[in-house]
Amino acid sequence: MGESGSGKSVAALSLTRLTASPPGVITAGAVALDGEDLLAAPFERLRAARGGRVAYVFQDPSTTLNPLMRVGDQIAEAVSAHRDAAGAKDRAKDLMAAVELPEPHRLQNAFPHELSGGQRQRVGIAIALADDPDVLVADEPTTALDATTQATVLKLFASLRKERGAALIFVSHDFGVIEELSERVAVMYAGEIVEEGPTQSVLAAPRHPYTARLLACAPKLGEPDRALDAIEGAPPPIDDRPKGCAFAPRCRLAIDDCRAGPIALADLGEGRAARCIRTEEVAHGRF
Amino acid sequence: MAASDAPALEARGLTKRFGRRGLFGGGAPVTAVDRVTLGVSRGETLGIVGESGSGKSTIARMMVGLLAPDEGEVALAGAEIDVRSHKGRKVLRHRVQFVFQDPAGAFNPRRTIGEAIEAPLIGLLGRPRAERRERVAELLEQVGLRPDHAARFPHAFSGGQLQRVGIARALAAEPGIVALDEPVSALDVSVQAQILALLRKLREERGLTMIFVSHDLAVVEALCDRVAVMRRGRIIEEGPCREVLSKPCEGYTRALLDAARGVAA
Repeated sequence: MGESGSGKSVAALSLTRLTASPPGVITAGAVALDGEDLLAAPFERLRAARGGRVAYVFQDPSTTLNPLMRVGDQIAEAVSAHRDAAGAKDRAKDLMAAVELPEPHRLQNAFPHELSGGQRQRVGIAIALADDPDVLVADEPTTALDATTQATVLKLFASLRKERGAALIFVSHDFGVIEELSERVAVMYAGEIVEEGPTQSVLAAPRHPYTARLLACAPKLGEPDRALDAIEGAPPPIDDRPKGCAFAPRCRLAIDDCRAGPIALADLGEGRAARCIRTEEVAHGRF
Repeated sequence: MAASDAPALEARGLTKRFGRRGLFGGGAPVTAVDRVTLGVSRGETLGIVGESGSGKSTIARMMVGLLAPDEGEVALAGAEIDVRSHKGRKVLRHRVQFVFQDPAGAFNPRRTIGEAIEAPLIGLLGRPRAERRERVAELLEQVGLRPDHAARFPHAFSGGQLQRVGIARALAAEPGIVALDEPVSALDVSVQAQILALLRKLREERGLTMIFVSHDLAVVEALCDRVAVMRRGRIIEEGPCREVLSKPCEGYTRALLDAARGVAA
């Protein structure tokens, strides 16, 4: 979870070295998939993992699908990239049923422009499921959709995860969506994880001032009188981050120690962590 | 009806069809807005909600004279305006301004934002140069920007800053009414909160009448006094915002609310 420019998409894409390079260069770190470091892996290993064990669903299905190719063929293409081409058409039809596309027989012959936004995103999900991935990475997959369509697509993600037992990494800027779908959440700000923990407890009692302020300024249905206390200022440019805490310039709790140097992600127990030295104040509602 | 009781701005039976005439024509035209009557009182904030394609942007654009209706009239403080004529639209532009959804697309990239804000001061109010410069600085400060921002080009601003510029430009003509088409839906939550705070402030200080088009029910509830729910070109429910959103009468409104709460059955 994070706002634009916080680095959430870059983090998600970097898991399989999918960030465009140049300009993107992964300078440090590792990505362990069952113990194997994908960042150090030879390209063929990485290639097999992409789409096979780690598959992506992107934000805007209207730009990721080929406009000149029937959607059934696009799903079958993804299947035959990993499996035998022989049964690809049949598997494509099964996948279309799995993502609850109506009338797979008819729709497989449709072109992307003939489908609604929600249907197109279901095609995108079917392509991601082509080789039964262990990890599904969805980067804002419902942001371009209407609220009602969004709700049904979210339900599909929830049920796919339950039925197929795949892990789901869901990138979003929307607390409501995160709350509905995830068990654990990592909040990003200016390229760093600033808070992490079980979704319910993080949203109910945030410990990082950024999380707390962000939650306080989001309108909530049924609570029209919320103050919507805006966070003054803007995040620092990613190439000019302050020496200390990146949120300190906007934070009401910031003290000299916050600005002195990098702040570590501190373990708070119960699976929670926050990159802040004033979590006690936040816990007591003083932010 | 006495002029003082009349809505500040009213749509009277507005209809808009988007035709499939011309080279690839043949099908029947799509009726985007179907005989909609809708008014906003002085000082009131009216929300128009609905899914994409419901006609909410189209009705707002017709009410401010950006789009000519196929049928129906627009009335300003009870007086009917001929929105099909250049003259009528000009009268409307003096009193009603518009803020667009995508701030990046709403500005000429080759003009400084000072020039953009100045345009209505020249075209609509005919103010002299010195006065214009002062007014631009004043408007920028009102929306939380700095006067020296006037010399910069749109690409130098973030989405939230540009939306502030959009609001400053709309206010430049000193309109009584501002219509905003999804002004915060392209923005991050924290930036959205800044813009909503700005709109609340402007409404309090200037008694601004607002038409707020949005698909986000939580935002509408936080800002609007009255709400109209649109579906397929028609208003299916209308009333005080909190009442409609807490006790909806129509099944469709309830479905929208359920979807927004994430409990779609």
